[in-house]
Amino acid sequence: MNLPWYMYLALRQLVPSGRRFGSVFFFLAVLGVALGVAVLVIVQSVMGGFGMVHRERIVDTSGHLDVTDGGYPFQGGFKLADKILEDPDVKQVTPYARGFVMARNRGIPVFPGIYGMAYEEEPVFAVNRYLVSGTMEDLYDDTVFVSRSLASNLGLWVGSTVEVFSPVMIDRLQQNEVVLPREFEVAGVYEIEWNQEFLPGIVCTLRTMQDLYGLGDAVHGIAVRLKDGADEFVVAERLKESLDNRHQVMTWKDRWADFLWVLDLEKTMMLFLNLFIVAVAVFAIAIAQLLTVVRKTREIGLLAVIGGNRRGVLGIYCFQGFFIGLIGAVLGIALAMVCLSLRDPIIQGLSSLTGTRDTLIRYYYFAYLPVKYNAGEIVRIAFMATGLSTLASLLPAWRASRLKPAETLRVEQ
Amino acid sequence: MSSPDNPIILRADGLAKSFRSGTRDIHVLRGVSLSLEKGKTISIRGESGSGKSTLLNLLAGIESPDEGEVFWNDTPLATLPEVRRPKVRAAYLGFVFQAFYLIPELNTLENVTIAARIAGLSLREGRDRARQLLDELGLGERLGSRPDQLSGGERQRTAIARALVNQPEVILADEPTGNLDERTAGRVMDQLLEAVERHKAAMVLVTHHPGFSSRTGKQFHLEEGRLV
Repeated sequence: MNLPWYMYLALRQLVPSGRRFGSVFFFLAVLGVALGVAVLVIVQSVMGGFGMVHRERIVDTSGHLDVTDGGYPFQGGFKLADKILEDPDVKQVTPYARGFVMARNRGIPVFPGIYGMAYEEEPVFAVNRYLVSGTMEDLYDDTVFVSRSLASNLGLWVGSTVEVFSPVMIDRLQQNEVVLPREFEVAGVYEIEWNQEFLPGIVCTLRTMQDLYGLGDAVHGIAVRLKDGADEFVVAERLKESLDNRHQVMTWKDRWADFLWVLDLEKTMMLFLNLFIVAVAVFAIAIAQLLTVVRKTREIGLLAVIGGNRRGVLGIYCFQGFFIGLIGAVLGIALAMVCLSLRDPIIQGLSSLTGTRDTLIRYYYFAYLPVKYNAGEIVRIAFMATGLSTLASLLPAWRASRLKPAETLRVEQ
Repeated sequence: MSSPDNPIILRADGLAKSFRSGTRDIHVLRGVSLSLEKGKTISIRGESGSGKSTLLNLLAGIESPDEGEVFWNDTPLATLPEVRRPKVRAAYLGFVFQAFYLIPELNTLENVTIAARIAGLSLREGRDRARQLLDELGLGERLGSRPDQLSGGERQRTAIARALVNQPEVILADEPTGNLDERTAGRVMDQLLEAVERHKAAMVLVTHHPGFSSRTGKQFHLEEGRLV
């Protein structure tokens, strides 16, 4: 290769002539950068995966848009749903009502959220995708689906019965009426690996919910799912213009803005903290190169004597930093890909060995590590590592370029 | 005196150089003048610390004199901008050092080629010239060897090839046999002088060895900062 002499020498100092492998310094420096980059890519991809799963769960359980009357029940929900469905970007609509109830079985009370939905084919709240037992066809006005967590707390299974008390019953109690709980047969159990606080514990038909809450024909809102590629903000604006002023249209991104911000903040913080790993590797490169400059003082002097200019000497060490950063980044990305591709067997092996699968779900909501590769992010990490490594070489390179040849040749080594 | 056939290519006029040691100045050179004609050789002998290497450094332009001036082909070195000096030096001067100063990560061929590349030659031309010179110096079989795989004599012959690869007008040789045993030193000196003659270069040879000194065209002795 007809490289400039300083680039050639930079490479040769890293991988000496006649040797199959590079110098120990080169190996360790590349390893340091590679490990730093691998950690960054793994953490960012896993954090991206968590973010992706959270976003999917939000859309799966509440759709892209929520049309409400500020949380108050309103009439004409089905008519409104039909009108929303006329929008060319709307795929599905589901009128719903939601609230809280007391569920009881064998004397154990729990206060789960309840979600009643009207659907024809597939509801916007895609509970059908998460059913671990039962099918959507089993959901009638006297049956309910319960979350795996509620089923576990109350000892429920498909076919068992659960007693439900609604807030309306409290009003009746105050009027000295005899109130009996509604009994529902459990028709299905669903498991959504996500924060259970965000999910209803009971899913029922809209009619059941209207009955429990005494809503008559009223609903609390219309959940809207959009076609692929549709922009929720554009559709939201369009619906706001076409619907009555009393209706509020909120995108899932607005509704979950704080949560999404926290997700992004976590990811950014992880990137920031993990950058220190790369910084440590880069400092190690700077120190090692400073030592190299001291060790090679006479060679640097020789280069100056035989015609090497300061820019060339500067180039040798800057390019070394660049090469180390570049090769470290490429290897780091490869290492990260290997680790990430093996993540499931590793996690499954660990959790089955320790019996912690349920614990993982309870606290992290996932029994596996979701991953989202972001090419732009990975390229940015590679650029950053290469840039930092080059920058770290600047000081040693500058020192080398300032050495006076006459003095360096007098140095006893 | 300079003649059109043998122009003076290196000249020093009244060079003085002193170094500070503690509170006192050590005057290493006190008005040294010399001139070197094209294709001629001179030697400079002197005791250790007499300023021979300092004189070579001044002639090479890698150190500046306190007084006096150095001329490369009649061009006063002081008028040559600092940034241009390395490139001109690479083409004009070749260096042979006592301690060889080969780059340990490069093999024999690369150690010679790098000097050509620094001087601006293409990789191909640099390699061709390096290969030819190394062949001439009997190192044709050692092109791929690293310095640590070479004997002292082979290292110095590599350094001689490096000094000649840019076809310089002047070779500055600072105790080129100082690190070699007597027999090897004699052989290396023979090869150095032959190569310098073959390539029509001039040479300033700094040596302790009276025998080697006598083989140059002119002999000087550096005493108390002056050339005798």
